Amino acid sequence: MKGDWEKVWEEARERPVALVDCRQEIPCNPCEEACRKGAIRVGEDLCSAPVYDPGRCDGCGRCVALCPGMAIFLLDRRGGDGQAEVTVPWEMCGEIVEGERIWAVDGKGKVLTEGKVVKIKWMGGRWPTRLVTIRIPEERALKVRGVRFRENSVGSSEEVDQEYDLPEDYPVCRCEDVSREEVLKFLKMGLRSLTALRRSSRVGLGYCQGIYCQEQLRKELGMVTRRSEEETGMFKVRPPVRPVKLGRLGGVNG
Amino acid sequence: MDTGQEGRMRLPEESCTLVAVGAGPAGLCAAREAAACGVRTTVLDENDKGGGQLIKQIHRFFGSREHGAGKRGFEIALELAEDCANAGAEIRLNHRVLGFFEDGRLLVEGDFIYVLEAKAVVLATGALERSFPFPGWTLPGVMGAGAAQTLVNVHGVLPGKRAVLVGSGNVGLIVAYQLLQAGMEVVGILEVEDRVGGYEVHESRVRREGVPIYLRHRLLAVEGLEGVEAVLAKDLEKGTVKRFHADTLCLAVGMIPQAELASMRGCRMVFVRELGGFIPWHDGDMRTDRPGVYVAGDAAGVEEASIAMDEGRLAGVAALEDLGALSPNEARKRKEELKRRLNLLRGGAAGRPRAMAKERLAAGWRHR
Amino acid sequence: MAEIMSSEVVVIGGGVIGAATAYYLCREGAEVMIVEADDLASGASGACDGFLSLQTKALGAHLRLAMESAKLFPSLVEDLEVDIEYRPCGGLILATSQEQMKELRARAKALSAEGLEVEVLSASELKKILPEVGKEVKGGSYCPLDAQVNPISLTLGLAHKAQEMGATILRGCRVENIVVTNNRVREIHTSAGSIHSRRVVCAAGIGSNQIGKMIIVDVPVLPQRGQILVTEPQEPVLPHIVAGAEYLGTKGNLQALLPAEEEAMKLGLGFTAEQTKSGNFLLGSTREFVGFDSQTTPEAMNAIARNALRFLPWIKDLDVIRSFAGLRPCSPDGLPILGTVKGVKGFYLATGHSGDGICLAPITGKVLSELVLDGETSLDISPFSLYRFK
Repeated sequence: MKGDWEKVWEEARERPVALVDCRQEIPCNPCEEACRKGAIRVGEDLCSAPVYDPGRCDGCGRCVALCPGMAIFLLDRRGGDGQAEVTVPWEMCGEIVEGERIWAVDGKGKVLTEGKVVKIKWMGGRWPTRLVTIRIPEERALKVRGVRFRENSVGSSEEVDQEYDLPEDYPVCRCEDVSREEVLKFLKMGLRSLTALRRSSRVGLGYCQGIYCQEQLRKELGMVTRRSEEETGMFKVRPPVRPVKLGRLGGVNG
Repeated sequence: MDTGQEGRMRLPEESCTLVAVGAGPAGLCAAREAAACGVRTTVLDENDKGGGQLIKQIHRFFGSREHGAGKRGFEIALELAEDCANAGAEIRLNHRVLGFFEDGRLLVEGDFIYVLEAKAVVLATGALERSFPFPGWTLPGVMGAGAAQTLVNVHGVLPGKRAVLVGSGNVGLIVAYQLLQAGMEVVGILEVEDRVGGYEVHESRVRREGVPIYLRHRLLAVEGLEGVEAVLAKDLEKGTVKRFHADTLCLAVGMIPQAELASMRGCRMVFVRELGGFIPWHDGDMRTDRPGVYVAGDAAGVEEASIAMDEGRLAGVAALEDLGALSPNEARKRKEELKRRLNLLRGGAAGRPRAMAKERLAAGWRHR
Repeated sequence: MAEIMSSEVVVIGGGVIGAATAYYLCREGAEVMIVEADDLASGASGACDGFLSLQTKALGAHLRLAMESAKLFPSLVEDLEVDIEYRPCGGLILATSQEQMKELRARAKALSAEGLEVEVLSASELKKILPEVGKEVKGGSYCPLDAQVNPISLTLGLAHKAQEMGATILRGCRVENIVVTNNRVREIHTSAGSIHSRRVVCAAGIGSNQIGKMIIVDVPVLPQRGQILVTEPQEPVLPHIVAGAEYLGTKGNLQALLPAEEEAMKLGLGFTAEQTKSGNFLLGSTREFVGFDSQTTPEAMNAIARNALRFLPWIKDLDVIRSFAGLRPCSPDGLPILGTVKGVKGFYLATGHSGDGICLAPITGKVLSELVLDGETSLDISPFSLYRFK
């Protein structure tokens, strides 16, 4: 890969060139389909990482717009003035206009440098993607994977006292409002089948019919019986699997 | 259909040759195969739009040309529904299947309630978001990541201002990105493991937007009176507790195959952890152990939309073969091609455990 | 390797009858083992409504048994640690024709003669206690002693209390054979091992026929399916348990009260409604002989819903969230089979309750414990002998 990037770096002196940063086994090949020059090959095995030949790339940008992983970029060093133009796909809803200042970031979200938006282009089918070209000092250009307006991340958290007391009881079944403690009470009474536990505790007898709480009840029971999920089994499914108005079920119109 | 006198009616009955339950990628593809072969086909879906979960996917999809790769999910949904209808299948939206009885009949609620009988039934009922209880989980603002995605992408409603996501699999990463796209702030993604679950490319997309991913952090509780006010998580390395100020908590902790109808029909159910939980046992052609009952897509094990499409096609072909609508030779050819594609889709490191589970199922599946 | 156990009394079946029998036996200090093939209340006791209805019982011994049973419920509320959701709410039977009204009047008279207070209500009188009913409803009969209970909690509460008093409950334990030597029960072979015991109570519900075969006695109990719809919970709005007169017809095979429609006849349809403590409406029900098939069916779901709306049209917008079916252990005449069998000492029958198991459980448990421990009962149970059938 490193070798490729050196080649990209060199080719980018002559024309804009794609930089393909895709290394994982992903069952995917739109980049291959997008490229009219045959510069990107995935081949028969969909999961193999693309093989890319920068020498054949004409910098059209179609692959940048179509890559579902947003992992392809364009590098253009034709200026030769120590500045480079980097193009990244942009899928945010907000406005972005030429001339704006924006932060260039690497693949981990670390800010590399500030740059200026020099071009915006829509590409890629009926519901296109914006390709945003920024101008930045060229020594950072190979690392750029995205642009954003905000310099710092929004994430912030505070440390809580180590002795934080977690509430111990909470509902397991929200439809019937059955707490975990109540379930444990029935287990203590010796109930050992999922059906009996359901009937007695009412977990899974509510509006959702147990599609959300069944897994939890199975887990609690499995911990006591040391039986696997398959042995513990499933709730018996009874119609209607979706709620239906009594009038409707009875065939009364309206 | 007889709607009877005085506004009351008997249970009307109807029949067709193939029914697909669920108009997601699997159901639509199964139905398209059948309808294109001249078989009378009906697709039932409880929602008012076809396409299943694809309709809320605004990102471009993986896969290859046959799966609409490079296109956005909702775009693929529209194309699949159109193909299916053009092939001659009848797609009935807002029709909910209430029961699938052991005698093979379906009880359906459309504009009225009726019984539907079919020679072949393809269950393509998809999956549900997994949830689990913790202190505060019933507060407004706690929701599945997919639910948040439906709110922003289908209904154009923001679930809140600041979100914390739980789970760094592909769903968590993609939804985090889409919440950002819709204008929400994403405070962070909590991941209990020591590495990100989803693809690097998706991880990179959210990190570029400045979203921190907290590895080895376990969700403890949600605090708030009327709704979510803060999310508490434990740093498993340091043993400390962190409080994140947020009004929305999205759970992206996996999906559960939704296979109640198969279970009700009496299909043998097996627990396959790699595929999300209990699923109807099925052979390599998507046949369950009940004659005329097939399963495809997430209901047959949680995977990806492209896999659901090819599994749907495979189920459709198997049904056609069993109905005698395809010659054994033609069926074999089509099945081989679809299985080749499915193998490719399950080729990577992420797909391998699922590929092996499917192989074990096809070989009969025994308790380990 | 299976172990060898022993017990003074073995009760086969962990349904409401088995649990009640074990409970009353334990209260008398007996050592009891309940052998249950699945889990507590996994048969008919876990798939029925909570009607404790006296006015629907057959006149005579059946009614007397039920009235004695009704007296025991308040003591259970006191004694059991589980909330059995007992509610002395009174029960209504609604008539939809003048012919049915006539029948209800006649029945009310007969029931009163046997000591059960039953009031006949005209349509306008009915309005005072149940304001909204369907247009077809012409009136009804009201029995203040009718009540309601949660059958699952009742079973669980009885079994749990018995356990606290020393009973052992073997769950997932199937009876494979009963060894009889010199005309006396000696041993029970189960999937969990052998149990030495000289006294066995068969409270196996629909499995009773199978158990009877082990000692070469024909116990004429057949499964009769009853389907029920469950709605979403509501604020308490239904003050009483309510049945349609046709329910009496299909239950007691009373010609004058059988449903008119052919389909309803086929299903054995009779309207019942109760609102449980959790707020759900339970709407019933059917009486079908279909072997051991406990599925619910589209036809019955549709018919029950349609029928319920004839009586309570205002519940049409409630969501039905579930249906279930139970298999009632049905005897040829619909009355329970209680007592000893000829030629096998130490074998007792407490089965065939035919849909009255919940209501009759306490008295059944009480008289069975007397029979097992003392050899005689405080109440004449000869009308329920196995040998009434020829």
